[in-house]
Amino acid sequence: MISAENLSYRYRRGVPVLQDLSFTIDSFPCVLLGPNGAGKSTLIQAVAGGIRPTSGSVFIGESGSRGRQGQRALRANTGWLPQDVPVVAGMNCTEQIAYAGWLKGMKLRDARQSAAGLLGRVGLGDYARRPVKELSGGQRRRLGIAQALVTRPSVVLFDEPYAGLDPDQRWLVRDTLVELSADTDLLVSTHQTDDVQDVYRSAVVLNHGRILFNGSIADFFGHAPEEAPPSMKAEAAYRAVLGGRSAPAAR
Amino acid sequence: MKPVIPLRSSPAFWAAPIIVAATFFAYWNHLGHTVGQYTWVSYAARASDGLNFGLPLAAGAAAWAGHRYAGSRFPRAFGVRRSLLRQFLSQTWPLFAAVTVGFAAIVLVQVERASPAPQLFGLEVLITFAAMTVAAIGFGYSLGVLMPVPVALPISIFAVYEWITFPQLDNINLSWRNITGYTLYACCDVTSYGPDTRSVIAPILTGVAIVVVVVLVMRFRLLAILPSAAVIVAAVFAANVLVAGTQAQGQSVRPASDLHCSGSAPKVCVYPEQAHFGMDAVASKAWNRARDAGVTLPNLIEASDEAKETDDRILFSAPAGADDEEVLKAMAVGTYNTLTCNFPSSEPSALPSDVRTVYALGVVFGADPEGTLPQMFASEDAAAEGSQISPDKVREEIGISTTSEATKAVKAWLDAQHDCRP
Repeated sequence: MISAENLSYRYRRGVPVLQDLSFTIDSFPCVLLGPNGAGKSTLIQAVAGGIRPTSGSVFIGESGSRGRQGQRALRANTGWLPQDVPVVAGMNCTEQIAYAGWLKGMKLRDARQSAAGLLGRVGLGDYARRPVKELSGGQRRRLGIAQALVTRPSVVLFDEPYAGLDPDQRWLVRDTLVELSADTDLLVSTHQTDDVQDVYRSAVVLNHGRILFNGSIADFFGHAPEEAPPSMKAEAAYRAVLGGRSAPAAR
Repeated sequence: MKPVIPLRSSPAFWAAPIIVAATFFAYWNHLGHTVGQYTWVSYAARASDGLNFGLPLAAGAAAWAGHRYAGSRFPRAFGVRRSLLRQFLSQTWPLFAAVTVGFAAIVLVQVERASPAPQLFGLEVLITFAAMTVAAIGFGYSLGVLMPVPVALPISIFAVYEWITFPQLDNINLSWRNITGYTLYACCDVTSYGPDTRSVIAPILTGVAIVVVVVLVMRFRLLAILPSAAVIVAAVFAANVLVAGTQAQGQSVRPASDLHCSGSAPKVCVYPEQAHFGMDAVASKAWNRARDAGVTLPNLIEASDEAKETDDRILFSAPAGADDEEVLKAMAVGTYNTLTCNFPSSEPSALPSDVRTVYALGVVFGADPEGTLPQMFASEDAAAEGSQISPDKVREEIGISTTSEATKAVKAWLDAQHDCRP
């Protein structure tokens, strides 16, 4: 379960990104929707313990973000796939996953053992010794998923996992998410609405740092105008939640 | 156990052998591979000076590693739980290992060349050296975190080299070099190693300032390079104020309790390392030779750097390991300096009387006249006075060609000291 109490975050120059958010997400996988600049990535980072909230708290189960210990507990309990998966020059896939595990507090030997299985799980089993610099964008994204999973976290956070991927790679990543969702709680930030109904059980819509919707997928689709074509239902619901914009016309 | 960072992709690992080689190169070619004072402290100081090139290279490699592993977004992207120190060490340990190996190798080479085993152990140089090493590697690493490698690497190498050596400032103010404890080692064999406390504190002070800046930069991701540089420069200037007036090296007279005495007529007291090379036997033999020639000298001979007019002792100074000829010359100089109290009002020849007397003493003690003459008197002293005299001219001026003539000259000199000696 992910929850927040009066969570706010603002950058040094004072621009508020998250504004007094209080919510609970207890149904997974959950999709986090919102326009660019809505605060999705910031919320993901706050949940992952990557940034410390300006005020308020985030909780994963009983672990909260209050104080340094709380921040460390958040990091221990979460896996995080950032938008751009950075790679370390000179390392191969196994080494990078093991290094990520070590950075998150695992013993190096354990991390290396986990790495082999995880690479197979994300479809990179044949790339164990491949230098990470040689991976394509989609392969890097899957490598990032493996890294996010290396510590066996209770919650895994994905920030725009489909961004910049071609349809094939997008399909592979989607499959991986579906498979993971069987035994891991996933929170996925995305603009991709076409598969929302198939993959997720709940949705959160964020705009201007505020939560506009937090509920089940069924409730989310309830916002879609009846006249919206089935293939556009998700987008129509999203637009409706965002501010009563008109439903997209059928083509 | 496998290292966290694979060695084949670690800049620190590949830089390590180069650092060891550069450290040894600096020691061998620039510091001279002579043995310093027979103390662990002196060896350690000399070894740390061998890192003039090694530490800047280590800083450069640290910049590379810092950029590759911490400058990238990689650690931040995964919610790191490892401490900053653990990360830093996992990426730079080969550099610390290389510096330590280079340091230890130079110490061991000195020990190997300097049998017997050195004495006097002190931690001050080791602590100074450790502070400078951490500061140099940390400085390079933080630059790598903040800047691209093509910028961070040359800046860190250059800045650390300047910091370590302050070479261009030598002629202006020697104390500048003591900011990094550059010449902490003592040069001479019979003085005790006594580093000026300020010369030890100064490099630690600047090193700590650099480490503080490094931690602030890395922990809080401060990109304020100018304030960081200002703190470091301020620490350097503060250190210079601290060491103002200190000499290039700190020395104090070695305690007499270190002397190892043997015999009774004469009684010869030398330091253990000098005794190891048989200098006491050479001195004793020289004294006996003079006695056999009818020259009466004090029967207490002591090794000391403070050769001056004193009580009934002969004080002389010669480095441990000096050959017999050098010891005899040192005996001659020491005997003249310690027993002379009556200086002639006018010189009988172009050469000063001390040159003639010391030469005569050398011959009486058994030194080779041909070998002794030009080396002792013709070249260095005369050149220093600006009036180079050829060996033949010296020989002609001295007018001593046999042992009996030398004995006669020594006796005349001793007679002249009778009235003024206690």
